[in-house]
Amino acid sequence: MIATPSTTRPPEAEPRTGVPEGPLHGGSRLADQLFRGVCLASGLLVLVVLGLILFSTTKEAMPAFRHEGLGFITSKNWNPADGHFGALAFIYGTLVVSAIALLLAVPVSLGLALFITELAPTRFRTPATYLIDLLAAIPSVVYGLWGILVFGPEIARLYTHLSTTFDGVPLLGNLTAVPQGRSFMTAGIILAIMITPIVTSISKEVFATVPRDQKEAAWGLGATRFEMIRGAVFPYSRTGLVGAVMLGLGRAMGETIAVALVIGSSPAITGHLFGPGDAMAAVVANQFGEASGTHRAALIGLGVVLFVMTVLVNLLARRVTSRADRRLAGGKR
Amino acid sequence: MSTREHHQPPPTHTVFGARTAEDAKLLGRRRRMNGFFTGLVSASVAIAVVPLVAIISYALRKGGSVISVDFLTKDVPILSRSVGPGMGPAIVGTLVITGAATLMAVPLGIMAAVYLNEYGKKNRLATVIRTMADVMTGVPSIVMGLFIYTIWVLRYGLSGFAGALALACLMLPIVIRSTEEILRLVPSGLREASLALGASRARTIMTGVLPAAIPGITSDRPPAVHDRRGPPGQHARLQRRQHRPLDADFPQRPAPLRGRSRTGVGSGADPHRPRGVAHDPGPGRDQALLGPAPLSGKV
Repeated sequence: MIATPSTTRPPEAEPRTGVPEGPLHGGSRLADQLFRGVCLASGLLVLVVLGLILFSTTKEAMPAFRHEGLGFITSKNWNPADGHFGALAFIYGTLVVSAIALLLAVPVSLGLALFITELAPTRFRTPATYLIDLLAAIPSVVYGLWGILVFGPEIARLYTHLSTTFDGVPLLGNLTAVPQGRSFMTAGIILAIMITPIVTSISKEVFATVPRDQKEAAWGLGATRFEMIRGAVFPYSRTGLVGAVMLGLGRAMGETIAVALVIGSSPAITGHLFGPGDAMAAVVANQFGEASGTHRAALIGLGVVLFVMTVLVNLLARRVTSRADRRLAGGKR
Repeated sequence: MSTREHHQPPPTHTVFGARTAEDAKLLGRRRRMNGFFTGLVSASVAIAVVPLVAIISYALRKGGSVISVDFLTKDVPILSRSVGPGMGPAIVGTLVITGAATLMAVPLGIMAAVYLNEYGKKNRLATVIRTMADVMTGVPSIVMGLFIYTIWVLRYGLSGFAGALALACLMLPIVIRSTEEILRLVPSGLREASLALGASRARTIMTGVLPAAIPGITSDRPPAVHDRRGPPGQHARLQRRQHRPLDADFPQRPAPLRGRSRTGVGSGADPHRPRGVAHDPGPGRDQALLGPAPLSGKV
């Protein structure tokens, strides 16, 4: 009975007519199918939830969308008291702050991840990994409080200094005008600090998947460590790194409390990075409590815009990476 | 050439001997580049560590003094400005809500991961679900909050359960993706062995695959395996372990198919088995059934 069956059953369960049903077959085919169904349903839950997010938030935001039309995302006039809900300034703020955060965090995170995977002595690697994971778990409100109480006042002095230095310089002078502790820049820096651990943690795992023999080959050809990393580690892990950065971007765009605390809450589309602004998630957090009617619908509408933006960014990143994957065909990932 | 080699630090290899001045120049440039890069990496470590340490020490310095048994257990003050006796309800609430969210998200997430890795594999539906789980990982927490607000709070009012629901939605994709990664590490020989013994797929998964994966799932640290890697030269020794992460743990784990012996499989029906037993001094009967020896050759 045992000696005869084929060693591996094909993935699609075929009717096993020759084998008698019995205790050997556990709960029977029905239970097997049931189990498969439950697993499938759990998987489908992801699609259901995503669909529901889009559907139900859009439905609740409809009053605001109807009220403003396309102006919701093209107008920068946000004035709940007068019934104006143009979110462009917040969209701009979110993009600027996220960009600052990524520009600051990604190089540092990659350096940190490379240090942990390639440079650090072996016995430091595990503690360093734990430390990074621990830091990734610090609640954002702690970062926000630190930013508003300690970092903001300190950095404001630096801003003022920079501002007077660059006053009159064409581009830089504009960027550094109207310096203030609560600003795009402060929010960007706090966000950078917040997403560094998570980006580091993921890039570290990505670097760890680089096949040993590829690194070996580079070493064997006489490459320096830098050349080995550039030639073997980076090409292989590019896909995963894009994923890590995208996850960081998602965090940065959606981060609420810390940004709400330090961005300054003044809707403005301006190049003054050191001046106050506002971002979508922060607006929702600040205003949701006292909002009602169209105002609340508009805030939920901000959520819809944010959701669509993150989904688009994610899908775009997947397109980019899968194309890179195909070019690098032959790798395991 | 040999004298030159003596001067060189071990990690920088001579490129087939730098005999000419040009070679030496190239070598110098490469080495400087390497040094520059090492400097950059070290600098980024410093840049990253300073604020993180600053934040932690600030939180501990400012907040450490108020932590006491009363603070952890007593009621929250009604007036937010008064210095209250404690934060008890908030702490309990955090634990309860997180616990409830975990109870919802973890079983569903594991089941979904089982579907992706054991049933769906690369078919179109599984690919779509996988992509969407990744997308869902990126959904900002505030959007999830608004979602639960529109779908639950507007109907049933504010509640701790609504919070748990939102948290569960945030956790679900993370659980799915990390569980799937770990399931992928479970050696296929384990599945094949179980299926060959006549176990159904459901039983294979419940008694074979999941038990083998649970240590990884609970700690959520598949890459711990990679942390064991050493610098070049040391790894040849570690390589076997690295490639068969879960196999290496098997001898300590209960044999995955324990209990199946009532079918009579273990009673010497297989003519090939006794040899394995003879080579294997330690393990008990169950281990002999599906012990380390037959599995380790698989992957």
